[in-house]
Amino acid sequence: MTSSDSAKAATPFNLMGFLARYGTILSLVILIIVFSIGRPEVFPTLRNMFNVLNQVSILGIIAIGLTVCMVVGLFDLSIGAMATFGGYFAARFLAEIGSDSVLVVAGVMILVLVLAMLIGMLNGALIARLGISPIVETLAMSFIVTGLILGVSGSRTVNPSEITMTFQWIGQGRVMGIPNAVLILAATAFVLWLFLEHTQSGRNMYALGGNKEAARLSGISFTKYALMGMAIAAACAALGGMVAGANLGSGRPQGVGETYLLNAFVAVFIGASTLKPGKFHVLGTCIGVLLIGVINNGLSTLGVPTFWQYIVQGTILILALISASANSVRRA
Amino acid sequence: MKTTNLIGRISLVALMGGSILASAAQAQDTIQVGIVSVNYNSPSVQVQTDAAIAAAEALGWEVELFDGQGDQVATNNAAIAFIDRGFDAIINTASANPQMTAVIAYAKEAGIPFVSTFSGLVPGITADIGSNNTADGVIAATELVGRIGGVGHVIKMNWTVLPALAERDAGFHAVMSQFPGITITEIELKVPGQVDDAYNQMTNLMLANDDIVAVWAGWDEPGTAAARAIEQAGMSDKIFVVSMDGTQEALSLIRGEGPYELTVAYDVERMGVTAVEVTAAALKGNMPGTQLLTLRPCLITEDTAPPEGQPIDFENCELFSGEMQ
Repeated sequence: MTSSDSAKAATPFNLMGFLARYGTILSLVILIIVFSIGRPEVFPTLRNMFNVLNQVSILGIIAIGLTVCMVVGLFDLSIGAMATFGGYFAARFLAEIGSDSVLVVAGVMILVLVLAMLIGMLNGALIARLGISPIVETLAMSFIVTGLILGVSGSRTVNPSEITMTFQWIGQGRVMGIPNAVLILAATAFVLWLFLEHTQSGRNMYALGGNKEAARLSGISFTKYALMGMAIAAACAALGGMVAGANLGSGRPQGVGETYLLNAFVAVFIGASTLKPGKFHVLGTCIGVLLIGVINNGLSTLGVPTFWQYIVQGTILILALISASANSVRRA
Repeated sequence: MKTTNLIGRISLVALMGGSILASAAQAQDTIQVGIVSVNYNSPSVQVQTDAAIAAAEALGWEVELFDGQGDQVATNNAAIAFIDRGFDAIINTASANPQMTAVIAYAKEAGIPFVSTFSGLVPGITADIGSNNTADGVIAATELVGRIGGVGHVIKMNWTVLPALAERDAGFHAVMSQFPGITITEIELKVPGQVDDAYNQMTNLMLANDDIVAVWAGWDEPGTAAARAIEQAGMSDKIFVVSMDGTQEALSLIRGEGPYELTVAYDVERMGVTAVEVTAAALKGNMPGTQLLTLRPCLITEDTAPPEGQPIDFENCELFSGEMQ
């Protein structure tokens, strides 16, 4: 046994460090156990697990996109408006075209994603080139996008009878028993996890988020990655909005993204206090999203009033942030 | 040359002055009405607002619309700004009057009519045009009870913050209190996000309870979301939905084979028109005899739903299922 081995062996168990890393997962496990005991015939069933995943899929897609731009050190408050943008314009374009062809639906969805990415890139350019605060800039962009949607739509919802069945299948259908929305979430999470953790671009993004000046001196372009991060966040928000529109079979010009905006931030911040405290990452965000879904679903299946869902969710977030800050204090 | 220039300039100034005075006089003659709506995006609110705008413009009035997009404070500020700008009347479409008491008092102080639709009775308003929401809640609940034989597990989804929805809620409870064989699960929906919340809650409830037989939704928006959740869970033959409003989406679902059984439809278009008529009368000094003016709704089922694209015939429709036999 070497001296370092003996030092490792002698290190006492650090409860604070453990909680900082695994506290959120522990909370998730405890909640699952509590809800499973509360409704053993409902909560722990496979059907309900898919239900939970289905219900968090839209939030998850949006939150994972937000994670990418937060890795670079940027905020995006326009994701709510971009989600509404995606859902409304996909439904509206398809209603105008009136074709149920798979190719047309795919084409329209790609077009909407490209438009969303362009808006995201514009966000990135304004922030990186002009040095505008991302919070203010994206808030301003959310106003513009909301105004655009309301102007184009005349505040009128695209009704289910106008929306093609192929598009609705994306939000309502299943493949091998798994809801399509869950598959889209899984694919988005996998691709962006791969991108952030296993590509040079992803590593460069983390470098910028960790120390922008040091990264810049190492030759990493902030502008390039700001554009990329904001474009990905906007595209994911639009994709989430499209899944929401397809799921409910309507293209609403308002009230879609606002529902997900704050919860997406909650999920990302919970994620940043999980496994890798202080670091935004896709796996952590997925756990954050799952935590929100489990709380809402579990309390709902137990028949607990809605106001408790807000209280429990807020408490969990505070606990997660306390554990993250405790870890920072410990490291300092 | 200089004299010609001077005469030209004087003529131009005189012309401009004349046209300003003329337009000012015209503005004084033209009645200006400010319409405020806390949630213009909601389908039934939009219909009543658009109808009010069209009716006011047909009278030659100048109309300005403010959509609060869910922000009651911004809606109140807009209404106060209309009054400050010297508008002749305020029409409020479906923004809770109890949350607009400052505006109502300000309008009264300015001596202008404050007419609302579906917004509740508050002292100081000229009139509120709507429906008897408590009675409508009773009708929808009674029809539901009749269809389940007075026994079973019923889900009630509502958002009781809005006065009209709270009144419907009271109607629901008045009926249900007479049927001890009915178990009720009450869901207070999250607003905004009511559509997604209604869908998710319904999905969860169906998983947690296999004895649900019916859903009473406070208005069509969550009603349609709940109906979609029921359809997607393949439970259309076991659970049905009743609601109130009569939106196009609800009518479309009622026409189909799905779980949407009925809605108590409101003549929201006429509400907007009536609001303008009451305002016009008030501007002439003829105040309505009552501050609550209720219009007749219709009971819409698969048998009485109008064909796609056709409006509901509020003149001849029935309100009670017994009269449809």
